[in-house]
Amino acid sequence: MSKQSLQKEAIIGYIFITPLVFFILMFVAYPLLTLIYLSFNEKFIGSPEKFVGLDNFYQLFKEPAYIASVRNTIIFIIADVTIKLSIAFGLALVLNRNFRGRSIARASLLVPWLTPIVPAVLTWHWILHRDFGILNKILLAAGIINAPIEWLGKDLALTMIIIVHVWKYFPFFTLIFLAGLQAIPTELYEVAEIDGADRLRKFRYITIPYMKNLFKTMYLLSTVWTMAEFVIIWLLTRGGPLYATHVFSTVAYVFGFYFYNLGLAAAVFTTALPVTLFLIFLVTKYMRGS
Amino acid sequence: MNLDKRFSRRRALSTVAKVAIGAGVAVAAAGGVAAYFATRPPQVIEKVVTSVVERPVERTVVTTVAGVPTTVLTTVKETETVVLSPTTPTVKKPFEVWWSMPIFDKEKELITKLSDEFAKKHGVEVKLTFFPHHELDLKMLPSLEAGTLPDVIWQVHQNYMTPLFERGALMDVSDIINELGRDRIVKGVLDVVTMKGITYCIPHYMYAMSYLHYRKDLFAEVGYTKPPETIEEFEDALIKIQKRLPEKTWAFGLSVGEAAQYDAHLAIEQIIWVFGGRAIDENQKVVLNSSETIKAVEWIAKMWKQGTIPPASASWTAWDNNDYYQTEKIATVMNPTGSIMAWCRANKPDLYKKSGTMRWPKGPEGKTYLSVGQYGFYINKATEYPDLAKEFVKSFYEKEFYFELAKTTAPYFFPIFSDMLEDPFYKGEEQLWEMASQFLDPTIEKRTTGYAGGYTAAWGETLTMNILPHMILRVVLGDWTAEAAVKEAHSRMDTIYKRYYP
Amino acid sequence: MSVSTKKYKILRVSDKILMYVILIFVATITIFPFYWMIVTSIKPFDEIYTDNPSIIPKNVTFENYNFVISYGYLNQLKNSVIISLTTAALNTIISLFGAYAVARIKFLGKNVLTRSILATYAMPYTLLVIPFFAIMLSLRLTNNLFSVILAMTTFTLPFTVLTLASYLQSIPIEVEEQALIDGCGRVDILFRIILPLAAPAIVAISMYSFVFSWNEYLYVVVLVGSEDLFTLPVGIASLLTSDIIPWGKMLAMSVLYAIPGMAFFAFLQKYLIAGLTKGALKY
Repeated sequence: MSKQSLQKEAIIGYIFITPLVFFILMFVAYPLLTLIYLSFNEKFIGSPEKFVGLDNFYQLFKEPAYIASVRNTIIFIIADVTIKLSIAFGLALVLNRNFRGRSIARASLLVPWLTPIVPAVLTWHWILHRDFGILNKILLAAGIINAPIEWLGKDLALTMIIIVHVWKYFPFFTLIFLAGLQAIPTELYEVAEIDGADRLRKFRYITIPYMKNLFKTMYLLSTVWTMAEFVIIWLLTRGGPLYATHVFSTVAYVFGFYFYNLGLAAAVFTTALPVTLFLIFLVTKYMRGS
Repeated sequence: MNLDKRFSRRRALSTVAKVAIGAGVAVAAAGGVAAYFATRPPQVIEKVVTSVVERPVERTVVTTVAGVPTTVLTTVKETETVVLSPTTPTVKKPFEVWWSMPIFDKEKELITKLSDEFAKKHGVEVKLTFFPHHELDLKMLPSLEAGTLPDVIWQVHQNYMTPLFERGALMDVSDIINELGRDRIVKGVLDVVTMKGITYCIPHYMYAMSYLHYRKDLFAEVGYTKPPETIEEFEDALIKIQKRLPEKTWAFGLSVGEAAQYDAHLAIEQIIWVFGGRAIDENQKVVLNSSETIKAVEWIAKMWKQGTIPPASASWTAWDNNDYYQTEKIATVMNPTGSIMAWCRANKPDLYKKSGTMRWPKGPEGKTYLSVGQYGFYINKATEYPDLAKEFVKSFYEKEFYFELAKTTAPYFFPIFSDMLEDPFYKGEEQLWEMASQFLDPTIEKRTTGYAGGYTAAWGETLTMNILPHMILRVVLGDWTAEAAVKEAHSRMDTIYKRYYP
Repeated sequence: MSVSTKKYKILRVSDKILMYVILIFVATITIFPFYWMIVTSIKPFDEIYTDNPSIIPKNVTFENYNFVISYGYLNQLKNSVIISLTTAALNTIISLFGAYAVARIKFLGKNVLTRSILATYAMPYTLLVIPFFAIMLSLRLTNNLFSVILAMTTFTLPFTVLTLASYLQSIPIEVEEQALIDGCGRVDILFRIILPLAAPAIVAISMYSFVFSWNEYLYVVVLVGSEDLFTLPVGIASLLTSDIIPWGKMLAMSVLYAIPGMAFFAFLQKYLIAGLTKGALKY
């Protein structure tokens, strides 16, 4: 392209992204920078802020709820995203085929995502209830277990939260992967078929390369998204029992909205920033190479 | 592939897309414009609104009694013209009241009606909005930060208001209390809302932070036709009842979990008191670690190990203890507010008849306690309508109205005036009287949660971090000793308190 | 059709069985909670609060639905629809342009932009509610649905832009390059070529922003001042005041709340995907 058309390109590019940048700058960048600034201040809601340097962080690292949340957040994110995306990808493969009842399958797939989150989570709480829940009832009746299981107790709570979270959000990723699969040109498959490739080879050499980028991007985006998950954990266990399920978002919420300590809450977020930035770096790296 | 078909479809779609985008932009623009015009600041209020109100005033009057001049303190009704307009002539916002959502429909009706009547009677505009409980809590925080708090808040969660008080955002309402009649008010409830000599709230609904409800029939079966009076008797009854109960039912519905928040925290505190311990002293020092507290924790652990407490209690939410009692899975239950009895009264009369509320059994020191809680009115210190706020709040204590409101919400809540509690409405119904009489009984010591340091923000943090339930869980789930668990809880509280009171 | 295509289309029987088994299993787990919600909402009181719940209700009642409708459901529905549809529309438009720029157009500062978009997306947006409220206050936009729309658009944009951009990158670039050579402008390319090809992904991100707004609770509570502007999640949560969960009423309201979302998706499916993508056999 000539220099002139490159410039013209750039201008069009800038126009295209103007609304986006406007939103980001106005409503996100400014509050975000405020938050980072706050983490270095002693700031209670309703009181003016006071610069205190690293004090909030010192307090944070001594706070058992925060320490537990570091471990929990890491486990939660890695397990959750991997399981969720695997299920989503597998389902996308299945749903990409033509079969009877496919549209119904696709529509019903969306049910968890569209169910309002508060009643859905409360329903899950009810289902998982030790004494009244239907899960224990079914398992006991079928003879699979002898005594009721404490699904939301110390040992299993985090696992159950992962399951509920996956249940709620895998539909969306299935949609994305499905869209990705449908973008692969059929000609490639037909040519491969003519060349005598079997299913496995087709999968390996056509599907995977096309989906690789999307998959990696989704993995990283989902990681970041999961880090912000709050409602499910809050409604199921409130971070308990004994901090078994506290994650960054719940801990920050407690500090900010219960203790009115915005400085401390902001500090939680700031400690997650380096990891997040690293992930961001990875995403942009993957996105550039197609 | 049919290219022509593809292109015509594309063309059709692009037109659709263009139309859709155009429509979208138009909608957004229209929305923005409409929004701007809808929220322009209201007009300047020009007229000065006054109203004639009656107020009781205490006067010393010299009278002659049997020929001797005596000074007598009498209460006289005076009328006064009060200025209800805002203190500054140009005002930016109307008189705003935020009200925590009423639980009963009738209750909401009554409140709305009174508010409208008040507005009409005095010729003012009252903007009354109901918010669900937690929503109101959440709304207040950014408003506090931005300085846009309403003039009056009727709040349910006092722990969200104490930080406001500590930041000096709430008005001292002692004079309103005086005008309502300080002597009429049940002893103990004002302590809940008074800190450092300042009363920052007018209690409206009163309740116990941890009632102990029980199944009279089940206790009678094991020989307790009258409720147990000491902790030994209580323990004895629970164990006997547990032996007779069918599977999946328990004798002692004590919340110990962290998801139950208020329920567990308040119940555990009550039991600690009964055994002679307490968490905080008058100087905001943590005194949790004591032999009395350890005995209390050991007792709870003992009841757990005896199988009288449902194991699921460790992960109960705030709704579970109600549920279990209401579906007859537990024989006793501890709960703040009279919600359980209110529910039974309205929905399960048979269960209601079999239920009662006992005084908390006396501990080793031979004393029992009642933890008093309240929902009430808080006035914004920076309000531009101080007199209007005062008159508005007072109208909700007018005898006839207040009583009707109390009857609608009984036994969830009780009115704060002793004379009202002694009304045949309460005395005449066994279950109601069992609850109401506790407030009036002088032998029961009334305490505020967080005794004796009061309901401070530090105590609020102790609640939110689930320190007390955590302490119990360490012993019943984690196999710690009571000493170790209490020590840990003490040091955690210490860390919190040192930040507020270095 | 050639022989190879015919062979291509016949599925092995074992394939089919495996597929159906997986689908049924997934469908059960996926749908069971929702089924439970519906069933509970039509059960009479005694059947709900029992320790012996039945999978199929013995008696059926619609009193919960009557209650919910008179509780302000219609008004809350209206508000929810307004913010969700507007957010979806606004978001899709901005994302389309933004994603295309990120994916295809070279301009200075692109990398910085992409990275900062992600950075803004990385935080739990619950914490931002207080500064956001302050901004709305200074814009005099409090007690207004528009402020909620702005908030929702803001928080869905990072994800949708990046998702769409990633998707666009996997579309072969040849067609566009050809069109550019032929003299088409970028805008034309966007609408005539990209839009149809990326339709499934666009549907996905529209749904995402719709559902995000549909589910939002905290921001509505903080930014809205009066009951008549409440949305459905707030309405549902407001049923939770008392110490006992009013399952019947709450679930009835939830069912009525989930249905419009599903309807919206069905609508999108039908009008935008059908006929544009080939439902052919792929692996």
